Amino acid sequence: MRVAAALKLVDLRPDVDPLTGVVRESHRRDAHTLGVSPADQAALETALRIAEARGGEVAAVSVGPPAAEAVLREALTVGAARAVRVELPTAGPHGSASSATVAAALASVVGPDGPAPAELVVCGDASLDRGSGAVPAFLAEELGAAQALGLVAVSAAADGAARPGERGELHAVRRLDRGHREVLRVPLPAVMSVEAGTAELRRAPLPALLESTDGRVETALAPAPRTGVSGFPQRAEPFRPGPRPLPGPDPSGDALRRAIAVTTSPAGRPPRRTVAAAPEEAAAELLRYLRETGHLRGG
Amino acid sequence: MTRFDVVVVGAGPAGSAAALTAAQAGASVLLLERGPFPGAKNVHGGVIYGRVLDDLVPRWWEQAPIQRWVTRRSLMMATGAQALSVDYRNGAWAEPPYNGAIAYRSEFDSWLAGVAERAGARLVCSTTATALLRGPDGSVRGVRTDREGGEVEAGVVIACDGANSLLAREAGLRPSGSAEDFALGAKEVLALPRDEIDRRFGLTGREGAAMEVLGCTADVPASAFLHTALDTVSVGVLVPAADLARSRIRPEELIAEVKAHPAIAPYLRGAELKEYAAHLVPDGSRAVLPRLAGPGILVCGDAAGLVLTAGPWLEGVNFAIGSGIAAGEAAAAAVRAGDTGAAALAGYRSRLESSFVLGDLHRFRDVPHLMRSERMRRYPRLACDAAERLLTVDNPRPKPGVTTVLREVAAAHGARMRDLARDGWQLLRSFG
Ligand SMILES: Cc1cc2nc3c(=O)[nH]c(=O)nc-3n(C[C@H](O)[C@H](O)[C@H](O)COP(=O)(O)OP(=O)(O)OC[C@H]3O[C@@H](n4cnc5c(N)ncnc54)[C@H](O)[C@@H]3O)c2cc1C
Repeated sequence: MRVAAALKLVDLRPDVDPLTGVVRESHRRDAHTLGVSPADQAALETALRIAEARGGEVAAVSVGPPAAEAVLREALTVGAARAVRVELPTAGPHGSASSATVAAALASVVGPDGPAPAELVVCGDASLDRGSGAVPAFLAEELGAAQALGLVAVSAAADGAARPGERGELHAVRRLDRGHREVLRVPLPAVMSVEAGTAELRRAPLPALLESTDGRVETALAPAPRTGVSGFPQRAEPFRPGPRPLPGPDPSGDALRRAIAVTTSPAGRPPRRTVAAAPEEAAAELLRYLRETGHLRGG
Repeated sequence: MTRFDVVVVGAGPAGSAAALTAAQAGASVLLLERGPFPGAKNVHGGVIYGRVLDDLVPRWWEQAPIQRWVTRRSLMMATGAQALSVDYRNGAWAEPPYNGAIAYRSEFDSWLAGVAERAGARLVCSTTATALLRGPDGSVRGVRTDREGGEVEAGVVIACDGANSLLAREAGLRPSGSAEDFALGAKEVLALPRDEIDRRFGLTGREGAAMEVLGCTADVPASAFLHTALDTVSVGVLVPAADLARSRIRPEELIAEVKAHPAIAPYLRGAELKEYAAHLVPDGSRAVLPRLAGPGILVCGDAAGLVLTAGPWLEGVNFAIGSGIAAGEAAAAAVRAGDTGAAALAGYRSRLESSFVLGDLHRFRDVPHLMRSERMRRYPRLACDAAERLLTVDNPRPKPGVTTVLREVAAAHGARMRDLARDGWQLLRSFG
């Protein structure tokens, strides 16, 4: 079985303003703060385990600048058979490419006609640099494959179910809200994304590290970029609910009462309102409500 | 098992210099580093004296990642509220061949390891040497690492694994360290805009300042330092580990005391804390006669205790590089000659003796002890009080003479002129 692991080169130590959560662009960046997210490491380990259990090879694939070759070389030392770096044809920084563009670039390599076709692609569920986890979803769409995203466990074992000629399936566990778990049977071909805790990446044996990986990273050029949404909304400034006017205290009360009124929260929750209306009206009502409470700007 | 002529453990300045020298001499070299990259784990005040690199990396200053060049050095003696400084400036130090450089160790160590790699050394990171391999005769034959298949055979092992050297201890070249053998260095990196640093410290371009401070930590014999990088300032303390333990004060509290001193606070106002780190520094005065070599093994840099700690001044990187160069040469020569026994490697020590490494350590061997003495610790206060008396205009009383002031201030601090003269002489002899 051919398995691919998608790895993204990211800044491992972004300079984040502790007050606003804004990532500052100005900070010193050197080669040492670049690497792959813990979730991507888990993806590589998961891919290696599945390939080992089912007999097969792993191709590590990264859409990124030449610096990404360092992480691909590392993937070779822990056991990936091949490593492919995909160069985007656009000039802009790779980080600004839309999720759809990155997914199309990956698909051009791991798709059936690409240089490293795979029945299973394992991705990290979200990269450290404001990743939204949308690339795997776009990739599944691109490949016409099943998708199982945000997994916390993947069983690598071959299930006897796969009869000759059939591709078989994988079992995986997905995190749901409130601590619930969902067990999935994932038919192949498939795209999976795994959380960082799913598996810990193995360490390379010393002899593998001493072997030269020079020239072993292949490169491919991605197809022309698509216009499409990036998975993460680009905000000009961090989100902050707008101020909401509150009624002043009853002016007839004495000073103590007025002070208590402005310093304590109003008793109880606002009453719940159920709106029964046609979809357009209901949507308009919702928007109005969100504006009123400061969650939406303008209008 | 893989085999290299020379296996160097630790890619600090000592290790990279040793690997570079041995590789240049034609040996096959493996350089092991436990951190994810060279310099990842290294703590340092910030001043590197690079002249020792002149021969090894010609015009190193054109490629090394240097933040600023030291053009201003000052020594401040402080009490709770006073400060008396000797401030030296030299614009020529901002031009080649320079004097002191301020650099981040994460960048400097990576750069030097990169030079060694380009010379042919093989660098492997995230790999810790966990034990020595020995031949039937007990001589060192290689190292074991914490990776699968991780035993490596070596003609010579060069231990550059830092102050708390596991390998030097395992080789029996260093007794297991006690607190008396170490000082603790702790520092904070504080961010300020570059032009703000330029203005506060009176610098332009790539000029940098290095300040040493004595006496501003009341209860502990710590010295403090301030070093400017491009857009950060490092502030730290250096304190004998035993004294620190006795005082029950935490190192970060000492740094807070330094930062709050009225003569230092204005330099740092509004700065944002970026990083805190602490590291052991071997007390170099104890290293004057360390054992530096055994059969199949050499020890360099902090691992051998080769650090100059002369009062407020601390030089370790140049000593690490100097000893690394000597070890790399000795190891390559021994491998070439086919004899890596203790006698063959003894040339390492004589190289160090004829260089600044053991020369300077020998000359300054008494200073650390002297600086820790009760009497010495009174001098910052004494100097500040004397300055105060001399600089206070107390009209209508006439000005006192300098000797009178000195005698009176000394008496007020319970010191005799005789002691002053003797300590002065002793310091002069050590430094002179
Ligand atoms: C706060 C402070 C301020 C200082 N200020 C100055 C200054 O201004 N100027 C100056 O010249 N010196 C200064 N020094 C001293 C200087 O930092 C050291 O003397 C110098 O770093 C010694 O270099 P080294 O290569 O011997 O050891 P280190 O720099 O400590 O390098 C040792 C390396 O070995 C690695 N290692 C350790 N064990 C293993 C293992 N088992 N396997 C693999 N790798 C291992 C470590 O990760 C590290 O990279 C300062 C020290 C401190 C703590």
